[in-house]
Amino acid sequence: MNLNLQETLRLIGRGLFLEPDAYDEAAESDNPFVDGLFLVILIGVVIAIAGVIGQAIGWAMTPDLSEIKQIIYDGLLQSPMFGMLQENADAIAQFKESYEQGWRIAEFFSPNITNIFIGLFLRPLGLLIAWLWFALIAHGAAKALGGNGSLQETLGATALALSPALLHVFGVLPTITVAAVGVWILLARYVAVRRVHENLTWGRSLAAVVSPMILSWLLLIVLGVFAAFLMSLFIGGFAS
Amino acid sequence: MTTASLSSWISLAKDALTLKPEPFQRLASPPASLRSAIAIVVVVGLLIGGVHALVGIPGLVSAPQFNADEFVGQIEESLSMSQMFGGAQTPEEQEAMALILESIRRFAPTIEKLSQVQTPLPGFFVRLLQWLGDWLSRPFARLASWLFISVWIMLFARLLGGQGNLLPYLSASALSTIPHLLHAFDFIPCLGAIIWLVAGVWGLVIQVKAVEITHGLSQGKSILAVALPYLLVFLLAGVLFLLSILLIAFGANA
Repeated sequence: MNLNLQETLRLIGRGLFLEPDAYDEAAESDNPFVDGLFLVILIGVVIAIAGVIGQAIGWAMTPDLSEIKQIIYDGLLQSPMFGMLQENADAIAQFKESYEQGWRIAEFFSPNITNIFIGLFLRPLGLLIAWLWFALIAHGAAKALGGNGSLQETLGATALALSPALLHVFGVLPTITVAAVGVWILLARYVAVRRVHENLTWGRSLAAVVSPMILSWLLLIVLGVFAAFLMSLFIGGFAS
Repeated sequence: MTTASLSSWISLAKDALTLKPEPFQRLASPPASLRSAIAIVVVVGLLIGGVHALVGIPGLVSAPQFNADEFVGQIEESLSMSQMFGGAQTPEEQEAMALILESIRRFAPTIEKLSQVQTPLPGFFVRLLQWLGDWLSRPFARLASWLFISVWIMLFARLLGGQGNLLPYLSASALSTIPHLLHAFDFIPCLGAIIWLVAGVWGLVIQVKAVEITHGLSQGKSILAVALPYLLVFLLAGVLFLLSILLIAFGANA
C-alpha cells in the first residue's frame, strides 16, 4: 500500500472513528507490518512533540519547587505537632529525611528539561512496545481460539487501533485532562481483531482482545511476588 | 455548519429526548462510523464546559485570594459539626482534635504564602490556561464516561441475547449524553443533586431505548442490560464495604 503522509492521516482519522473498512485496509496492505510501524511511530512522534510543548508550558505554569519546599518546611516548624516531635532527635532526623525524599520524588516528576527529552523518546517507544505486545499476544489467543487471520494482518490492523492515542496531542495544553483514550483503544482493538479474524464469534474476539491485558496483570503479579521475595531475602540476609 | 444542518441536529436531539425511534435508527444505520456519535458527545461536553467557563470569567480576571482566617473558620465549623455527630468523645480524642486544630490554625498563613508564589508565566496566563483546560477537559470526561458505561451495557445486552453490533449500538447510545446538558447549570446552588438525578435517569432511559432498537431486545431485557453494570458496581461496593467492616471488627477484637 505504501501510504503517504496525507493518506496515513486520513486512515488514522477513519481508524479513530472505528470505521471497519479502515481496519480492513490496514490489514490488507502490501506490507502491514511496515505500514503499521510507520503509523505507530508517526502517532508516537506527534504525541511526543505535543508532550514536549505541554511539558514546557507546564514548567512555565509551575512555581519554583524549592521555594515551595522551604515555605512548607517553615510552616511545619510553627506547628505544635512538629513541636512535640522536636523532643525526639531521631524522629526529627527521620522526618527531615522523609521530607527531603518526598521532594526529590516531586522534583523528578515535575516538568524539567530531562523529563521533556526522556518523554520525547519514551512515548514512541512505549507505543511501539504496546503495539507489538498486544498484536502478538492477541494474535496468539485468536489463533488458539480458531481465528483465521494472519499475523501480518493482525499487526497492520492493531497498529491502526492505536489511533485514539493521537488524542494525547491535546496534552499540548497541560491543563487539559485527556480521558477516554484507554477505553477507546480497547474498542478499536476489538474492531481490529474482529475484522482480521472474522470467523471468530464476538465472545472469542473479546477474549483475544483482553488476553494481553490479563497476561500483563499476571506478569505484574508474578514480578511483584518475585521482587517481594528477593527483597525479603535481601533484608533477611542483612538482618542475620 | 449551515442553519439547516444545525436545525436538523436540534430536532434530532429533541426527538431523542422524547424517545422517538427515528434518531436512534438514523445514527445506527450505515455507514458504520462513530463520527456522528463522537460529534454529539463532544458538543455536549463543550456546551457544558462553555457555560461553566462563562461563569468562571470573573475568576479569570482577578486572582482568587486565599484567606487564612476564612479557611480556619471553615475547618472549625466542620469540626464542630463532626462533634455533633459523635466525633471526638474521650478526653484523649478531644486533646488530639485540639492539637490538630491548632496545627491547622498555625499552618493556614503558610497556605496563604503558597498561594502567592510566582510562576514563570504571569498569573493571568496561568489562570487563562487553567480556564481553557477546564473547558476543554469536559468533552473528554463525557467521552470517557459514555464509552466506559456503553461498553458494559453492550456486553450485558449481548449476554442477554442481543444481536446488535458494536458501532450501531455505540452510535445510538451517544444520544444518552444529551440530557447531561443539564449539567451546564449545576453551578446553581441547590440544583446540583436534582440535575444529577434527572440527567442520570433520563440518560439511562435513552440508553434503554438504544439497546432496544439496536439489539432487538424486549424492553425488560433492555432495562436489565442497562441496569446490570450499575447493579454490579453497587454489589461490588457493598461487598467491599462489608469486608472493610469485618476487617475493622476483627482488628478491634484482636
